[in-house]
Amino acid sequence: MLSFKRGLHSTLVVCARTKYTKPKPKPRSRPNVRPPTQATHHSNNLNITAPIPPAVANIVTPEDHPLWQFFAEKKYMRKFDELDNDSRAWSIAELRRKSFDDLHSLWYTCLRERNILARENHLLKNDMGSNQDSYEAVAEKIRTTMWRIRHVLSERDWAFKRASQEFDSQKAQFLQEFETDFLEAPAAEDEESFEKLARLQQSVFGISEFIDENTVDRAFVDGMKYVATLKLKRFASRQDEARDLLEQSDHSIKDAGEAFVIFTAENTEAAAKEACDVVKELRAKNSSVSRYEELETVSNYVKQLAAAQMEKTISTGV
Amino acid sequence: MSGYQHLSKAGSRFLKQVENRPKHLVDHFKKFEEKSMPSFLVPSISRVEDSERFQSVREWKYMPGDRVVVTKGRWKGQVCVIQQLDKETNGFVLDENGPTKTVPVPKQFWSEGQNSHMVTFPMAVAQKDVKLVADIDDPKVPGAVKTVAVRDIVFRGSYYDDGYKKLMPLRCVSGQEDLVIPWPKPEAKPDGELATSGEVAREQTFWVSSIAQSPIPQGALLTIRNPKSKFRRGTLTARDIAKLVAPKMPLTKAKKAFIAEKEELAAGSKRKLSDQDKELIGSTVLEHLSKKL
Repeated sequence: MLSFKRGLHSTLVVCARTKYTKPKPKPRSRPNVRPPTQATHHSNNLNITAPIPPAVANIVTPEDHPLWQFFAEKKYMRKFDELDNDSRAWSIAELRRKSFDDLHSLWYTCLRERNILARENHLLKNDMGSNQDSYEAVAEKIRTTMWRIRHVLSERDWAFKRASQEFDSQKAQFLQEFETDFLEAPAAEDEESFEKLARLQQSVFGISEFIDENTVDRAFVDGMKYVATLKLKRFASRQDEARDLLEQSDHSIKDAGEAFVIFTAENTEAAAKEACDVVKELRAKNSSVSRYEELETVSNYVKQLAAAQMEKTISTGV
Repeated sequence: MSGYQHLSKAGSRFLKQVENRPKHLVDHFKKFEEKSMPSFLVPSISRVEDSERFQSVREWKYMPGDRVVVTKGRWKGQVCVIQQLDKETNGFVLDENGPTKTVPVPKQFWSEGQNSHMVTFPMAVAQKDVKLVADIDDPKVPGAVKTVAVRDIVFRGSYYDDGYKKLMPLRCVSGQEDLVIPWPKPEAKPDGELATSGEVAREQTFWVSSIAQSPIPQGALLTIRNPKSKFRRGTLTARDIAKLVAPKMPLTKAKKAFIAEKEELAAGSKRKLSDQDKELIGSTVLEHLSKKL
């Protein structure tokens, strides 16, 4: 029997056995032969079983197969009377009431239903050659809902852009008015006033009460400085430390590090006093944050604070 | 038919041309259709074009459940209840008192329990051949009602109808508009599976809380609107202008010759009245005046 060996064309020529070459001796038997690292069918361990006939019964589709998303109740095709022909599309006025998350999930609900309908419609038109538009009619209503969702979101975005443009010119006056009201409120109404302040920082500067929800940007830092100054002013009439600090810093906190200390302090006189002491210590150490590094520094502070809070909640929770 | 028309528009213009039958052949085609189709498939009144189909209740005027009287044909004077609207013919399918036809049906179309080739079908009736029947208070006998046929109805105002779940116009008697004939109550149907309950739909979950944060995540904006849309660019490209400006009409030969002649005339020197000419004009005028006066 002919035995062909595979090899490179150069090695093959060299190794070729001619009538002049002596047959090579058999290699010596090796005692320690490493077993092959990969088991292949060349190792003769292949079990031959009876062939499996191709039949539907042999195919098991898992219940959670992702393609089931294109089927309604795992039916090949719904009948026309099983479709929802009576419901109408969402109106724009109804969609305007819904939050982004609601609209987002509604969008995907619509998309999934449209996928199912498109599949059924394709079968009907292509496979059965029908010209019925029942599936398309339902899909068209869903499509209407979908463009309306996009319309509402676009409208919301324009409204936001226009409002923030207009607000730029009125912001200073608005903050001034708030400051006068805030400072005039009696000491007994401290709690309510600081709640108002929390709402203001959310609405004007976008600072959330939950520190880990915030992203530090220019508006955040400006808002923090504004809130810190306002806090000091509130306590200045009752506390000498706060009054001194205000006077020293020309009635507004400009350093981001100092602002962060006062901003994160509790809204009580004792906490304010503590914060003032820390600020004075900082000033004594001559440590300040450059305006160019404000965002980075404050974002680090926020991260550290969030991590500390997280640790605290975990330790108390356990 | 390729079976891909719902996915692709390739060849759709050609198909549209085929579907648009010339007007003068419409009747011919109809006659041919009536001859070639089995009688149980031919509608009693002619089919209408898709564009002429009734869309709103204002066009339909009567709804299933309304009592109407047939005013024309063999069934003239019969009072029937509308069973359903025939959208293909803009007609009304009436109950067993209304017009019917008995036609042979081939065996492959037989329904269960059928044992005869002859089947009786209701025939659709056109809107102009029925009049609404209503019970109104009898002005002569207080407290009693009388049944009348309404010549015509008009629509005034609208209200939210709980049965139809939409705004419905008020149906008034033409010529006596204070007389309102209510719409029939439709069959109560359960909500469809795609429907959202009213409470959930009405619940407000969007509140404006901040002017510093966009109500939409920045990543979502690109899927909502194309920021580079040509409709928002505010400037016209050369291509847009070429599309918007009509091309200049080429001049005809005669017009070109006329313009050339005018130019030639304009280019030539201006003629001046010489003294001799002035003398001639003056003498002619003098001669004329001396004769007349």
